[in-house]
Amino acid sequence: MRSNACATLHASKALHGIAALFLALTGAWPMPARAAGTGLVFVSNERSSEIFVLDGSDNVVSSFKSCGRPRGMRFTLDHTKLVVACGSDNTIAVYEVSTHKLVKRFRDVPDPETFDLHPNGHDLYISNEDDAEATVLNIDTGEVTAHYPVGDEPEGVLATPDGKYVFVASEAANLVQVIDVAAKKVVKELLTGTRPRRFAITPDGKQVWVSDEIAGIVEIIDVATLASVGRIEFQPLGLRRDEITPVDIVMTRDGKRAYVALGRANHVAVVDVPSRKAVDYILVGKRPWGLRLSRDERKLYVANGLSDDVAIVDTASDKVVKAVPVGVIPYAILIDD
Amino acid sequence: MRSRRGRKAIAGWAILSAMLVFAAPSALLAEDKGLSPEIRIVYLAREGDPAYAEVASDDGVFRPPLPEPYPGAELAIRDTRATAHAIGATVTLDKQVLAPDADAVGAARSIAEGGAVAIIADLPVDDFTAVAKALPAAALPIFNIRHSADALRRALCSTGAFHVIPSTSMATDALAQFLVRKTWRRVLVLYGPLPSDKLLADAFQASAKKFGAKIVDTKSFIFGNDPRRRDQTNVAIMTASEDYDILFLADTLGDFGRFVPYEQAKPRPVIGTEGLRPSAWDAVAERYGAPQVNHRFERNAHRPMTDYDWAAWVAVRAVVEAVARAKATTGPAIEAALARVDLPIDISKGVEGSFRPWDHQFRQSIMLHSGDAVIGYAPFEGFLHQRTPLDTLGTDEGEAACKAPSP
Repeated sequence: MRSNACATLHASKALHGIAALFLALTGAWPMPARAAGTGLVFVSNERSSEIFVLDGSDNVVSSFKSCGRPRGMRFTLDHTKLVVACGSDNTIAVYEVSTHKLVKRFRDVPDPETFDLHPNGHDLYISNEDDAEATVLNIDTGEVTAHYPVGDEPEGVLATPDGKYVFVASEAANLVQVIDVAAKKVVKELLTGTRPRRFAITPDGKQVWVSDEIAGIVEIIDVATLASVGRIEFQPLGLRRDEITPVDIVMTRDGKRAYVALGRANHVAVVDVPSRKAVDYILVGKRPWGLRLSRDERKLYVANGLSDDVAIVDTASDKVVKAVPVGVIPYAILIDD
Repeated sequence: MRSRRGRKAIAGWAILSAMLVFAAPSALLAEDKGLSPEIRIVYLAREGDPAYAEVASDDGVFRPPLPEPYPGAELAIRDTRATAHAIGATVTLDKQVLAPDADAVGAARSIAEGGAVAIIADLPVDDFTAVAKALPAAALPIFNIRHSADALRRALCSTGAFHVIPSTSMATDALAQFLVRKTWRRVLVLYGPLPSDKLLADAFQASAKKFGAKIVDTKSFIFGNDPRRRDQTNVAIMTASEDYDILFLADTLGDFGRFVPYEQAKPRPVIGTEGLRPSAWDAVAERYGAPQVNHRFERNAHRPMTDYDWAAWVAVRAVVEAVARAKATTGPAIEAALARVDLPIDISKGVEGSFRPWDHQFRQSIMLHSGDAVIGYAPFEGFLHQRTPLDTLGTDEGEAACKAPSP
């Protein structure tokens, strides 16, 4: 969910000076372009420890055995590497995007569930589900540079595009903690609804959305004041309140639409962002959690955890156009487009 | 009477959080109302409680002694420390153990007067009943983490007793829903010679009626080899006459029942005290964040988490939720919040739990497990209720002896 305002700026070592200058002038982080651009879709499967690869026409072209229980995934800023959190191996693994070869493993990262890559390009903020901690791993040096004790069962992590804050949701503690990156400390602890899971940020950087899975809502946090300022409720027709268990959230670049995976409801909600109202519900498969929009935003990829497939939604019609069988319990989706 | 062990653990956590955990406390409670930050929960047990004694195994049945559920409460203190910190409260757990001849009521009274906000009662049923009846209902919540009898809920419905452990009828309702959903509706009931066997069989009978399962026959078994009593000792004979889809077994002692699945005349599944069994919790549960709770528990207690550990864990979480959401910081305020406010409590079973106003029974899903897997979670799909599907399990408002207090 980062702005692509600087998407044409190519990252290379030669540009580091410019990047530093840019940073000094604007206080924002430069956004390197996507280098690989293979058009491939990567899907982590937590139960079968595999990563499935789909091509641009959404056919499975390959799959490879990954480290154990792969869940959160991110590309490096230049899109040449795929970074994967492997919970049962206590590992962060790095794969080459073009060859799918393992390039690096960072071991002894306790039970990583998911993470975000700070816009500086090298700091991974990782939620350590079992240890009630968020750790910061520098993927250039392999050094763990900080530990932040958070609530129990931390899951969603979001680094704001300006690099200022990192938000961490602790599922079992009903807390969102906000780390001030420069000050290296937790500056805010927000009590949320039951089981906060994942985040999204509006493109203007002003609101962070967090899904409260068991409370069945999305809460809106104002970034300027770090206070909860609103909520979104979901009422798909014919479903009970306890079947609405929102997890992943994605937002379009114009900040108008959001998609929320509703878990047990087997639907994805389409939310009008300005009015904070759910305007449509798309039946996608069993227990959708992971979501990803294609770069042109014409396709929404949905990982259905309990039907072992990825549903592809045409966002113009809000209809599923294809369901692709993948591994066991698909979790996260990334697209190198 | 404070236990050293409990206090030491708490002190350790307090130091840890002061040292490095949170650099910028937000202290909601202190900011909002200038309230006292210390929330003290007392875990009350009795020395020599027969529930935890070594069990004689003359009959050859291996019955490991039941472990005390205190580590469940301890885990919840650790699990909620970040939440407590965020709201500016300190939650402490204080274990008090009654001497074998000590007066439970007197002890509970002084606990309530001493400023504790809740009692987690790990007590024999007579002690529990006496304590709940003696203390004013609004004084503080007294959590039942052990006893499942429906009669206890009826008897204590106007007291400060809060029952975290599921009632027997919730457990048998869960089984009946499972059968009906599978369309394994014809049930043969076998029950043993103990009063608890008969109570369980009766509860199942009511559940079968409630959900539309058909009991084809009910038979009692006895132990022994007397050939003249074969009609009550020989499972093959007892199961040979009428056909049925499934056998419900009520054998709370767990001796006779071990052989029943393989001694039937027909190959039929067994549920109840053998085969598929209902429980509040299971150490091998795979869904809804349960593996994380089980793992944390095992890491601290070095043994699997039992139903009772889980109930003690929920009791602490319920108090912390009342503090966090209802801003309740005294015994009466927490009691009122749990009884009257729609206070959702996360229980790692995929649903929010809460206490029913009419009998203070904790609403929750029930696991049906086979020993090495959780087969299903009741309520099952298709069993609906105007309030919440969770209220299809156990005693509903209209069936309760007490009326719900008005909000």
